[in-house]
Amino acid sequence: MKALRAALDHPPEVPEIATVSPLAGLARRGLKPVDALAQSVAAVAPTAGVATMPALVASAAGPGAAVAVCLAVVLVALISSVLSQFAKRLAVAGSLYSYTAQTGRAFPAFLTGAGLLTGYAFIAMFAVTGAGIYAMHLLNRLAPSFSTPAWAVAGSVVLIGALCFGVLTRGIRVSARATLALECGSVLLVMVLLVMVLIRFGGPSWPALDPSTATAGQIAVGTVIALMAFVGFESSTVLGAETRKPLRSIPRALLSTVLITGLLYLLATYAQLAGIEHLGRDLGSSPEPLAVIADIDGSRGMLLALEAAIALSFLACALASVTALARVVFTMGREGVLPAWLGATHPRFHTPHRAIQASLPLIVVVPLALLGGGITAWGVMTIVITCAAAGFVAAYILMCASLPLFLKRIGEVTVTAVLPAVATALLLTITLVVYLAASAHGHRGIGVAVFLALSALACLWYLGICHAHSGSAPRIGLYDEPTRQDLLHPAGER
Amino acid sequence: MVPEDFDNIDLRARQPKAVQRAFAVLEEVARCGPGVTGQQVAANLGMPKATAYRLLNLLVQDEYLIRMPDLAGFALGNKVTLLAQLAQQTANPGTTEATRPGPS
Repeated sequence: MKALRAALDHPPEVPEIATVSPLAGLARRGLKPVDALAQSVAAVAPTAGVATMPALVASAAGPGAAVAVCLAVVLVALISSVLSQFAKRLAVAGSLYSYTAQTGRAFPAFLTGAGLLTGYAFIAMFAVTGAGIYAMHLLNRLAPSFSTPAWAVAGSVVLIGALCFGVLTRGIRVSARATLALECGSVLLVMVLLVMVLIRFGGPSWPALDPSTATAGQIAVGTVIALMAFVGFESSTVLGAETRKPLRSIPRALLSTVLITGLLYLLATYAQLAGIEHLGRDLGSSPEPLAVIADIDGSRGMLLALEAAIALSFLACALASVTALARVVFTMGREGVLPAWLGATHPRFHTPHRAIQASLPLIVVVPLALLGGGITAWGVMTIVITCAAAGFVAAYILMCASLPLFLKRIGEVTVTAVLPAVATALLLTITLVVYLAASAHGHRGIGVAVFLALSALACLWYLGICHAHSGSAPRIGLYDEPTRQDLLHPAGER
Repeated sequence: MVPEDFDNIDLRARQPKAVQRAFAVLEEVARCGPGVTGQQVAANLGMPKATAYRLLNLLVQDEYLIRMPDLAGFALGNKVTLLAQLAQQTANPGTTEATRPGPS
């Protein structure tokens, strides 16, 4: 221990370490690990997934539904393990964009950034619209005599947007705690509901679970649809600068999110297969199976609990998605990729308030425009979630493909890190192609078209930025570097 | 405050070697000085690379080490100061924050 003692007595000078983080201005290291977990779980909106995903998977995979959901859980666990390789090495606010940028290659980082911005923005639109729809459902159920006007959903979208704005600019602690409370309430309600279904009907019979009559194609499409119910799980990575011990907390939050949402989805699929079988129906052709099962004896209590759980989940998802979106925008503002004023932080609340102010109006206006254009509320939901899911999967692919290059750059290549990354990138590329091909028609088709248009726009944006920086790409990849106070201090000093 | 910081060490009692190796890695980073890379640590200690990287990452996650801005190099972190203080307190139970000698 000679060298350690000498270092403690006379700490070496480390001129490379700055006194402030490049992300200074955010509330550094203020959040607990549980807040990071809540951010990831909330962005997944698992209650909405519980209510809709099993039926969607069953309609695509038929008898292979249960297997498809299991395969999706395995795939998400793989993505999470690759992501952890980045998350345990650097703390960021720009999520996968900032990780991919560490390879030193600007174009793939830009595409990742574009995919993430698309993902978070559109999932936020999905959440505010969903919260609006379910707020109206609840209102109708509590006061059946009150007839809601046609603009009611649009009005509640505006109200919910304003509410999010208020909470999000008041400091990350406030918004993280609000997210945690909403999500806990929602998940507990839906868990109770699922357990009640299982107690009442028991498990499904073997034929309902037996995948042997399903084709490989059916199972593949089912797996892809089930995977889309997990997007957002990566979003705790945006809290890298703001969480305590981020290099440990964030990888744990990612793993825990996969466990919690994976178990919830498996339980949901199992319970709904049982309930629908009991009713003598087919899960794939039941649009709202959980509502049908909850309503089975005509008691409004369970239905009310379900709708409240979904509304809470959408609200938490709106908060979490805008939190993530604003931090990616903030990072790009700091780098000069987006206008510099977007990289400002609030002097008192330490939030990226300009990025929140710039993004929230867009989140509210786009669904309003679509609703105003005569598309039904559920149509709007389908369009935005299709586009968001494609954006996320594109970002996941680029992140996985970047890991080997990043490890090579820092000289830490190992077979156990590189192989899963390459395999996951390949699996996800197949996933994206299957998803886009299976979503060519109707409202999903519009979502795919929007995604493709935005991808083209991202390429133009990249060329524009390179042009503005006279041919060379701007310096990207800002992250929360260690500061002097994180370094070894002389013995006796803290 | 202090116990909370130390109960998270991800080394199990069934891996006594891992504790020794972790301290060897810490000592090696101190010996080589700021900026030493994972490959250098592995080579100097004659340790398999995967093991060295895993230990380095664990020490970074618990903030005993920090990564340099280039992400490739390592340096001693502030948690080592805490560890030294705790050892000092254990050796001299009467010593408190106020009476302990300052930096020398």
